Amino acid sequence: MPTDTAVLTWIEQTAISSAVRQSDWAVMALEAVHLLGLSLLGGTAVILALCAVRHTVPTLTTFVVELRPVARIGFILMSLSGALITWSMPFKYYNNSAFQWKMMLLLCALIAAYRLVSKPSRILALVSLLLWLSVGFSGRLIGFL
Amino acid sequence: MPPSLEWLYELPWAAALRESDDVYPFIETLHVLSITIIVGTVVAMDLRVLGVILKQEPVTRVGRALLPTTWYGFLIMFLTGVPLFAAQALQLYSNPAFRLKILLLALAGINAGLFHFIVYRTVRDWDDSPAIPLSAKVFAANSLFLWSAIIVSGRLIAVFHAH
Repeated sequence: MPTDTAVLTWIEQTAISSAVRQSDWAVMALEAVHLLGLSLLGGTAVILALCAVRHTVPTLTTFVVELRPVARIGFILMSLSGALITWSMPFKYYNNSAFQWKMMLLLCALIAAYRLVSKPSRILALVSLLLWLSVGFSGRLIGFL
Repeated sequence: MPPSLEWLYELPWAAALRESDDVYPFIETLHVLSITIIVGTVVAMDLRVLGVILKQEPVTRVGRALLPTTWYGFLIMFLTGVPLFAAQALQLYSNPAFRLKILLLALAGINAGLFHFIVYRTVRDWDDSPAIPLSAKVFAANSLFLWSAIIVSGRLIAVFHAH
């Protein structure tokens, strides 16, 4: 669609987009930050899912409250670095089917995570873990398409 | 290049993995996810020892809840990391980022070992006390730094990779 192309072209021409794209190290550094964020957010998701399944002490509720800042920092690192990487190469990502899958799965994973935190259940914990795994795999696939 | 690494590199399954287009990235993804499990649980434990989160819970109780998961993460990390290394042993052996990562992993292991055998022996004295010994906090801060650096150096391996 021509409107899509216009928006993507505009994104590509912004100063921040070309600065990141033309830098030798910016995308690599952003990817490292993205992985750091992933380990904080993904690690928290795994801990919470396992607590929901195993009924640990401290309880799931305790971990949900106490790990919230860790997950939040992870989420901020991931979304900022991810947004900058996407912004730097809008056409590449917009037309990449692995990226489209990743965004849809990410949305589902976030909804599942919110539901798991408010109303824990084993099935939801399992679904949540599988969704995060699929987000990871589709993310890795982006580089192959 | 040590002969043992050449032997590893020439193994039929290592060569097959090297030539596969989809199995290698699949194992790579599992490897990254296993590091996520390790770092997530280790960071939570370190932040507890630093007195940042889970302050109402005794240190030993947090450790019992999280550390079994850390060990499963380690198991997956090695089970995926060894074939990934074998398939690219020649290239990785001379890759500075890979060397740095292995060095940092060894330091993280030594750090965890020293924490366990020196500081954790007296954990009963500060298990649910707000006064956590400085030595324990130093080990926890080291661990946070080392694991962050392991992730970054792992990402850097691809940058230095010779095809």
